[in-house]
Amino acid sequence: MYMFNPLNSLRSSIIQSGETPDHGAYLWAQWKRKASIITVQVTMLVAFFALWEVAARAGWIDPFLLSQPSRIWGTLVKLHSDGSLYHHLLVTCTETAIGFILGTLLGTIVAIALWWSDFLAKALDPYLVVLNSMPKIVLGPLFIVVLGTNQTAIIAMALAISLITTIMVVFTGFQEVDRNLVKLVKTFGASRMQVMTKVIVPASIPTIIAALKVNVGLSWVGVIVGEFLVSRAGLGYLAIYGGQVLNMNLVMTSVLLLAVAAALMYQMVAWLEKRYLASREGEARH
Amino acid sequence: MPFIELKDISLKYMTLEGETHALSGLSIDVEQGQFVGIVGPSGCGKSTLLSLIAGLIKPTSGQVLVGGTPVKGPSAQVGYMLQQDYLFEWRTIEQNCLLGLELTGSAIRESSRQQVAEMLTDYGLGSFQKSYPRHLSGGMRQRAALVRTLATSPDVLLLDEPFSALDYHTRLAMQEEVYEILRAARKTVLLVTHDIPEAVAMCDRVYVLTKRPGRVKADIHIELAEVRPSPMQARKAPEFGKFFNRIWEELDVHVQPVELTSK
Repeated sequence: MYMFNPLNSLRSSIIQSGETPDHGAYLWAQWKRKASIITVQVTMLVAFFALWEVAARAGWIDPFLLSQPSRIWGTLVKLHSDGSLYHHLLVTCTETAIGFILGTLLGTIVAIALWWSDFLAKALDPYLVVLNSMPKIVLGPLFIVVLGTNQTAIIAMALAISLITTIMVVFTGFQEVDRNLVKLVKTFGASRMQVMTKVIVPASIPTIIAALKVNVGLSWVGVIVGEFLVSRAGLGYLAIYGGQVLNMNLVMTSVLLLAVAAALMYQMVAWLEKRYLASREGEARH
Repeated sequence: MPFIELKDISLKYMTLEGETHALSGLSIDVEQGQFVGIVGPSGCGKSTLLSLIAGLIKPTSGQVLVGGTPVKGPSAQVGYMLQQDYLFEWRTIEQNCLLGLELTGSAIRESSRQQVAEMLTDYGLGSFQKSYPRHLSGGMRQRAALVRTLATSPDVLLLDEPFSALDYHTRLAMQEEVYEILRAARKTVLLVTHDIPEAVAMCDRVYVLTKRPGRVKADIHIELAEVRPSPMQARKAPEFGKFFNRIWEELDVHVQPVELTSK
């Protein structure tokens, strides 16, 4: 016996949207799978915060050390009402965006130079390897002394972390372009510049986008480290300040804000990638 | 006077491991409007020979002449078709076909665009102009590559196993099409191939090269009793088998017997 269930009407409408009853059943099975994945994802998130809250209230954990969701919420509301939330968010996001864009641009330009001159690439190779394996964070004190305790030093930190990786990834991408594509344009008498602009760069766009995705994460690392070292504003500053005054609510609040901001920026790059791929796909479908 | 002339060509490659003698004392000539096949064992320098004529590489010694003038570098006079179509996936078919004109700086002319559009229509790609290569079948892609090569109006076409990546049926169909198109346009054609029937069916003359360092071993004129209307007709000619055997013998292919391991 059937009870009224909104799921049933959804089920029949999905099944009816299939080309055949079997196809409809397939669509329904796919829908169910997708729905259960989302359900599990949401449940995990809710359960995590609920358990955290309960554990803090029941005294299983010390909320003074590990904070608790309701206190984080309180901190958020306070930061919102005195307006400083948006100031800190804006500072950190701006620094990250600048570091990210500069890292990608400079990295691509250097990669082009390395492609252009095989001699230069060979000559610089050991230095790139060393710089790539070195933990760039150690350069922090240098940036502070040379550039001052300001945002320039923070952006330099972000750049230092993302630049070398970008150069390596993009340059490798350039080298992996099918040599026959280059041969093809050479049969038309293409100059080196034309080989670069007509073949190497467009063929490497997917690689460059992949580098962008990595760079987003690296820029965040650079900016937060930079803020730990020098800043008076930003999410990294909030976290380090919170730690110094033993306000763990502030630390956890900045951690959560950072997680959301980083995820959003990553999604933006992913969206750009999707749009780019769609434009390549073109309007024509046969 | 022959339209393409290779006079006593030698070519050596240097690597750290040593010196590779790719071609040695090779001489070839091709009359205007002739279809000439080049066959030979793998690695005998067939593709190298095309690169020489296209001006992509220079011989160590000897002379390459096209239309009576020495080849100094790539020119619009010579078109080159590679083993695969190598269409750029990020360009539409139309943009791909305009590539050569773009690189030589004449794509801005409306007449060139018009000409490419007409060729695409003639070759059954009219409705695919704005499509991307991945939406086309293998044969259609190869046709688009042909349009791209012909767009710069070369007198000479160098075909480097252009059908080898296609399935057998498509290959036969493309041989017919390309033959018809290039004959009608009175192009001079050099076809490098492993496929002996393809060489006999399409070419007026076939050069057989030796293994490395490549030299001319035989120069075979494919003279059929009747005028060859198409490669498919040539395949049906009574002399077809004779020419096939002649080339096969010249190639002198020895398959090394497999050492059977004892039980």
